[in-house]
Amino acid sequence: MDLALFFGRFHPLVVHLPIGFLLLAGVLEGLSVLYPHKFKNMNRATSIALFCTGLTALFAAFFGYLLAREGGYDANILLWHKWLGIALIPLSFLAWAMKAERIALSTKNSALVIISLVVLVSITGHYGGKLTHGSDYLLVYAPRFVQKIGGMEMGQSGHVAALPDQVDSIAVYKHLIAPTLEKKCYACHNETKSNGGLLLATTEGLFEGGDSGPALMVGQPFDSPIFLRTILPQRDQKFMPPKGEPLTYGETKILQWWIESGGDPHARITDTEVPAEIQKLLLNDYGIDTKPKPYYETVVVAPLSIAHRDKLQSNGWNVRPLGGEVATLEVSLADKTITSEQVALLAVAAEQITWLDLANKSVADEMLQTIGQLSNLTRLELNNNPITDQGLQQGLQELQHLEVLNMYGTQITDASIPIIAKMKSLRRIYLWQTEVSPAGMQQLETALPNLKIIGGLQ
Amino acid sequence: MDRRHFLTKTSLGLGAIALGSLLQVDPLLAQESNKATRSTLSPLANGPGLPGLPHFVPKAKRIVYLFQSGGPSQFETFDYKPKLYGMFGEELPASVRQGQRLTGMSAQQSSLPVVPSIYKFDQYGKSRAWVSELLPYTSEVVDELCFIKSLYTEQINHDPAITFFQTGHQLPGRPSMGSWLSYGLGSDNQNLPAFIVLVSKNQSGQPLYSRLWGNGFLPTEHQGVQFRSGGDPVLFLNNPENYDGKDRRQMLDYLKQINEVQNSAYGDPEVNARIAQYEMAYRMQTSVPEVTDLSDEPDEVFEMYGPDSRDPGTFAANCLLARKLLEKDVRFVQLYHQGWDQHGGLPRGIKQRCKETDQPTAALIKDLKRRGLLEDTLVIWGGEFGRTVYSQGKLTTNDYGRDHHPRCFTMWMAGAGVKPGFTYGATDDFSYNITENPVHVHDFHATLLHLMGIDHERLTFKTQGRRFRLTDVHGQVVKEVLA
Repeated sequence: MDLALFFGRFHPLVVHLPIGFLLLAGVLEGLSVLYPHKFKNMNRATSIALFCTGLTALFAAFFGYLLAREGGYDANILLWHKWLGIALIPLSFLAWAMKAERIALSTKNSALVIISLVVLVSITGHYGGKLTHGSDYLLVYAPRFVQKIGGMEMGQSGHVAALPDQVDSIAVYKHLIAPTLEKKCYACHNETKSNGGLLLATTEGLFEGGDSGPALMVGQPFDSPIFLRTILPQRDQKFMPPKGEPLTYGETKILQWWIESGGDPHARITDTEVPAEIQKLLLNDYGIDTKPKPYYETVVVAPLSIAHRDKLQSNGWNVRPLGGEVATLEVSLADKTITSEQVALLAVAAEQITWLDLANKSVADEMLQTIGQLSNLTRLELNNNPITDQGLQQGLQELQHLEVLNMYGTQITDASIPIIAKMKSLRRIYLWQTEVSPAGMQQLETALPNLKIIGGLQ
Repeated sequence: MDRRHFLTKTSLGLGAIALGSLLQVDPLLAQESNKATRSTLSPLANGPGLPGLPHFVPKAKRIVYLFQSGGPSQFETFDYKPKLYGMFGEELPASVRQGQRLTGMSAQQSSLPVVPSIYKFDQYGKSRAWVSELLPYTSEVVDELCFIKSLYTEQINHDPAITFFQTGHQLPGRPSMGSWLSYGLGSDNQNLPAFIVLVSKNQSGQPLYSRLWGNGFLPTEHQGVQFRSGGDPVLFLNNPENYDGKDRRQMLDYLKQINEVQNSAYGDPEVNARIAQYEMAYRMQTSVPEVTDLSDEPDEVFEMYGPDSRDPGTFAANCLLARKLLEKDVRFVQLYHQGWDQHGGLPRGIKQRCKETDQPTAALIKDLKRRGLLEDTLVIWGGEFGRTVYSQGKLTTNDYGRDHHPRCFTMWMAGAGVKPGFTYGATDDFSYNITENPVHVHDFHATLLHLMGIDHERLTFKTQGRRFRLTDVHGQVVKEVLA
């Protein structure tokens, strides 16, 4: 077997001999046809070249057969390459026989046979190139229009799913593992050719395993050949993939992480906590930022129209973008006290207002109803206003994205605690100089363990 | 086409491209600048700042910088070095100093005896931060503080070092960081300057000078406004006797018209600055008495800031005033407290400075926190450099001095966007060299701007043929301290 492979690998070397001889035959034939007087005695030379073509083609085909046994080639392309290559042999000998006048066929037809031989060798050679270099080798760097002519589709990558923009939509298997398998494993483990009885082109095949047992042991990457065999020393017989580019460090680590964390084919990247190392690899290799993003970066809102903004500004509101590219807004009041007309105006930017500062503006209870409609609020400063439990109860129930709520210097009491406890995103609340008792704060702390209560001097 | 012709043509093309990118402003802000009828390139101090700023969503909207001028010793405050206790009076090992140059003040000393802190240290808070016994109040708030123990600077003397800290350059003439912020971000309060400076009264020591809060080459209206340290922070706010002020507005409008005539004739930006400052002064006639009026503050607040807080102009009173200014959305409040330059008699001197500053500093943190202001206010404490491990002058069991030491010193930040209860960087056993995570003054500036939503490489001003930044061509954001 190994000796066969040793010879098999001479195929790419030997294969150039028939090509050379055939081209020589072609040139000689062409000259004798174009300039019959100047080159009238070429037939003998041509026939020798053609004989050599047939002979070396025979060797090439034999070595090629040995090489193909090594496996790992695209079965379809291999089939064409093989039979076209074999077809070259009799055709060459036929052409030789005609040229050497061993058979009684008109030598005039020999030019036709030689032309078809040249065409045939080109096609065979192209398939051979596809086998060794991959099918898009030739056109990868070609200009766009050449690629189009060549029938190469851009951005096409088989059944691999494009990476979603939102981190929480990325599935570990579908978007990270499967593309790796496609790039590095499908060639030998696909529907037409599944080496070792292992099919990696489908999820089912991966979980089914191969002839020697399961490929994947959930939770145990080092007992899973699918991972283990990619991290063997490269010269090891069992190292995968045996040829072509090995898996990158990041690809192996992500594969390991996926198997360790349960190997769930539907698991999303954000389902479990991403280890620091994987976080860095994801950012580095895939540009996936798994750091928790602030709400204002994830929420998508249309920018506030200039007319609406002007309307707010001409009525005493300061309106500013939070910063950078986000369309969310930071709004505060320039006047010393707020009017209910001003509050009602905020509805025009109900989606965009994310930070609202109404500290010390004489905000009354009934105004909180409008404020409660600002669904994307994350920071709300209501401190030093005559607000009571009633206002909070009627108004702020709906603010599910609120992260910071400043209520210091208001009149709210423990009665507001159950309402505040419903704000699941809340991270910090300021309750200094309110009627909320230590017991109430305790209650809130139990309800929302992630919440920091700033109650006074402590 | 000759060379000059070629250069003119091509540079015009480049200029047009640059102009195009300058004019591509955020549509939200573009309107605003049109309305305010001013050039987009020179925003007024109380406008909305430069178009496109902040570059990203800021963590901090305000800064209060408690500058401890003179170079507070890290040994007697935060950088605990227990190994020194066994080495009292021993010569500083050559392997530590490695032949590094000393100042002219101690270079001639026959010996460099190591001196440990005379004051005891203990660990406090959940973060178990080491704090000296001189700072009992600060030790109560360590879980709010983010210590950087590995700051360093190249400047070994006060003037260049403090100039470097305030402006990013050791030579005078560059804008101070408060001016940069005012220029870039504008003001959230139309009635008060964006950059206010409060200097503790009756302190001696290394001099402070107005260029530390100067605007450098930025438009003049961005320079820091120093409040006087006394009962009357801004003079002449009241109208003169027998003048009711009713036609003040009218008078200012006419004055503005005249100034605008002058401006259109000469195009001098100083005229714009003058117009802006007249307007600001007019508004400050009402806003300043309001913000400096402490009569509404309950006794509890004065008790928290300490007895000095009832004495206007002291560090404690300035801390309280700073809180009030921050409540009014003043962008940058800078306090200066002099007298930390203890070349000799350090134990007594530093004890006194700590006594003056410890309680009000901690009170400011607590007060900002309970009001929710720490949410988006950054508090900074620090000096222009550190002090040496060896004693300058005569070393006795209860007295010593320390010379300037720029190679490492401690600062802390608190509040918006920095990790609370966190320590970054470390020094060796002699607090002489940095052993991990050095933070240069440029890095500190870059981080500060980052917290304010500014990419320090993109806030620039062109003068004398090139663009300048606060961090010039340096600075890395210290990401590890960001919350």
